[in-house]
Amino acid sequence: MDELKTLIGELEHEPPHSLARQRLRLAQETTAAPRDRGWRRLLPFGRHTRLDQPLLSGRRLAMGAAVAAVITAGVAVPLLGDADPAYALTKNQDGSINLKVYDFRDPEHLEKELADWGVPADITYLPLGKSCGNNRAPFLKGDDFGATKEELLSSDAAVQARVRERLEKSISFQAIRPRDGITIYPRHIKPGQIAMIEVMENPVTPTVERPGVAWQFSGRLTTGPIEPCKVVADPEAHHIGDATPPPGS
Amino acid sequence: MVTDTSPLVVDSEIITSSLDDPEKFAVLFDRYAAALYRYISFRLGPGLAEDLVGETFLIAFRRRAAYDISYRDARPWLLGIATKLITGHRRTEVSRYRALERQNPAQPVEGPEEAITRDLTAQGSRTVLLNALALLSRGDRDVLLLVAWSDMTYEEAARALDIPVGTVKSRLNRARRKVRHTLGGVNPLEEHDHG
Repeated sequence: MDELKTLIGELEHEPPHSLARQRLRLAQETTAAPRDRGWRRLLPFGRHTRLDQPLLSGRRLAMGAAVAAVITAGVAVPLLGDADPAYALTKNQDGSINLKVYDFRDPEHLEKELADWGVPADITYLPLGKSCGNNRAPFLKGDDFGATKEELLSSDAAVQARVRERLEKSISFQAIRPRDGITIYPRHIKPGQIAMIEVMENPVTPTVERPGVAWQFSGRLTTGPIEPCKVVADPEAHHIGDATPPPGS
Repeated sequence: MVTDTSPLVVDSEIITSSLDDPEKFAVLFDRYAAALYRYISFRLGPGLAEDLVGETFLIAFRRRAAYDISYRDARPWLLGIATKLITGHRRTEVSRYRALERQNPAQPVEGPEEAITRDLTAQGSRTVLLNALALLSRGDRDVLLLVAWSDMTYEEAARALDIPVGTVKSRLNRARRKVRHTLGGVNPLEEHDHG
């Protein structure tokens, strides 16, 4: 097929300088795109979450937002099919372990793999729209970062920033972070602590036409014992926010 | 921390970080826009290529959250999106091959006889080839040209076009057979009639 290669060489054109216009077009789109507002969902308390929901049990409130990291991933169309769930976990250079949503589809297998890396874990995988209604396990003291209900529900950017900062300093957040999917930092997990992670994945993949939440997770450390998840409906799970860019972006 | 533009940062990392920081996606444009332009311009001509390069990146950007980051190289993904856009302009593509086919070959004014013969032979196979491309089915042409242009593997082509690897192989075999046939002097119209 040398002839074909020759023909290709003859027919293709060198990119013109005006291609920069297309870069600008992309830049306009990317600048207008909302930044990942996932951090707002790092809290179990969303702005739109009603306080009488099982997710927000009195105990949880009393503990002061003990890190249930909940992030929202994407509103996109899977053009090229689903991710292959067969990938073994890999350890990053800094010792952290990166998990993707497809790793969670086989919770027992994932627990075993994490155990091989020395990370005791309790994994729950649920469809989006469900969640564990019970607290399941004791909270760590260091996860109580003392945010008041008013602060948690505040729409003031400065208050949000302060809450976020405190959240990120909590013990659980050090160990389980919403980064590149979910990243676990074993060095922040002390002996006797268990990484308890609940992943809720949307069985219907969101599309551009029908945007939605692709998946969420909630994770924290606990010393156990861990009770089984009591599955309850979580009608707020599909909420994708108000889609306005955060202040300053 | 490495910078965005460092060639050490793989495409999948750029896509991941663009979820938090959308503007980072432009790094992929800087890496692949020129290549995509060449690919699209060879199939559709320069008139449409520029706009479709922009279109390809906009679609990719909007779908970035679904990108499977176990694939580090985003080029097949982008070429797949571009190919699907080209398919939407397949009439333009076929017309282009037809028009190029009709163009009078530039006759060498003077020169050694051998060179003239060689040029004429090359010109002849070019015409036959253009005709063959115009006659291929859409799916066969996409696979043949994507693989020929990019040298990607069957697996990469399958992923790019979102079709099974077996389909890539069978389309490629069929397309190559047809093109070889025409280059071998068989009337491509007959081939077309039977195919």
